[in-house]
Amino acid sequence: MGEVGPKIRRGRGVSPVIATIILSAAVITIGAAVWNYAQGATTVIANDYINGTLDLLKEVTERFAIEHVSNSSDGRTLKIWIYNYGDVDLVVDLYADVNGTMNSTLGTSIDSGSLVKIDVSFEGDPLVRGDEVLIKVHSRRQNNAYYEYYAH
Amino acid sequence: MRTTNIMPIKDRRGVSTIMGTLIFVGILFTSVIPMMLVMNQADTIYVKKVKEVEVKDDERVEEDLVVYIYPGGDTEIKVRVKNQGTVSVTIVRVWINNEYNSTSELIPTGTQKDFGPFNVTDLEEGDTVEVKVVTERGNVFYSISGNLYFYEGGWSTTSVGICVIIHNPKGGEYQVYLLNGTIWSDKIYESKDKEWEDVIASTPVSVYPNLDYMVDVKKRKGVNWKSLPGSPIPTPIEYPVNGPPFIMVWIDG
Repeated sequence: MGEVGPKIRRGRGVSPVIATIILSAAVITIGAAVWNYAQGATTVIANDYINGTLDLLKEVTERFAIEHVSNSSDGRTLKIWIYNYGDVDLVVDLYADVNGTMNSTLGTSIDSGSLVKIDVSFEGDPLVRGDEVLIKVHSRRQNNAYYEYYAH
Repeated sequence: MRTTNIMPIKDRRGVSTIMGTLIFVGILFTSVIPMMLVMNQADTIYVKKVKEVEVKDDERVEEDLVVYIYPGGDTEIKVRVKNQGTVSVTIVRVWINNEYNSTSELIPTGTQKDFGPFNVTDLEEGDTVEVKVVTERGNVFYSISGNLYFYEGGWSTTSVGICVIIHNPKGGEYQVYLLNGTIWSDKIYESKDKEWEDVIASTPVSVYPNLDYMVDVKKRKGVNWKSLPGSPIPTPIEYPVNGPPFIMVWIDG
């Protein structure tokens, strides 16, 4: 019985004060790390959300139309005027389909409120009077405008 | 017998729990709640902008213009645009065939504006003049009087018929009669009430050449209808032998 006391005392290892300090230090360190990580993560999440929302907003508010179409007298060039009447600038790809043959002009920028003429080359197979041209203007934000034109 | 006092252990666990809770609350207030506020603000901006665009789209649908072209001389044409819609319209371009004329004319609702004269001296015999106007909101309006053809030094349109346009700045009630000499007359238009806009009346006619068509435009004066000065107007259809297929008549009301 007399030997029990000293054994327990030896098993304590550190005093209660030091143990508290060590525990508190561990909690504070881990807590600070978690806090720091949480702040970074929430900032990234918030930024992604804002960017996503603004991108969606631009996609939803994008407005453009094919205003006029004509072709050169030799039929080698199709001229298409596109009007961006929305509030955001846009980049468009233009496709012109004549009897299953697709010609295109890619990556044309159109500022808000401006009219831009895009030429599509038919150098190899010129348009002839009466040719039906199906025109599709595809914006990089996935909006489309269509136009049907008969060559003059 | 010895017992072990476990109270100090409980106290130590309490300190860590409190600190952990404080850190959790700190994270909540300094990271999560600001993040949610920013997200909410982005949503608010999104909804506001979408509403603005929806209003613009509605206004675009409300635009209603009447466009007609008429010769301003042998080599000139004029374009008249009347705003019949419920919103003011800004014209940004007037297209004459493949060329456009930029402008920035505001046409309040219920009013009209003339554009031009536009010179079309490069037209050759048989060439067509196609006119359309474009609004700031992206609408395109074509001439209701159809295309004009430059034909034997004059102007004509593709349809066989007669179109009467009464300039009506003072308002009034009108009757329009198509006469074939003294043989018969046919009422092609009558106002149902006093009108405040220009009156446009069109009628197809027989293709028989050399019919002696005339148009008589009458205006209501009290209970009587009186022919306007200059009316009846000879409008012979000599198409295709010696004249255009479509006669445009402009008269002041």
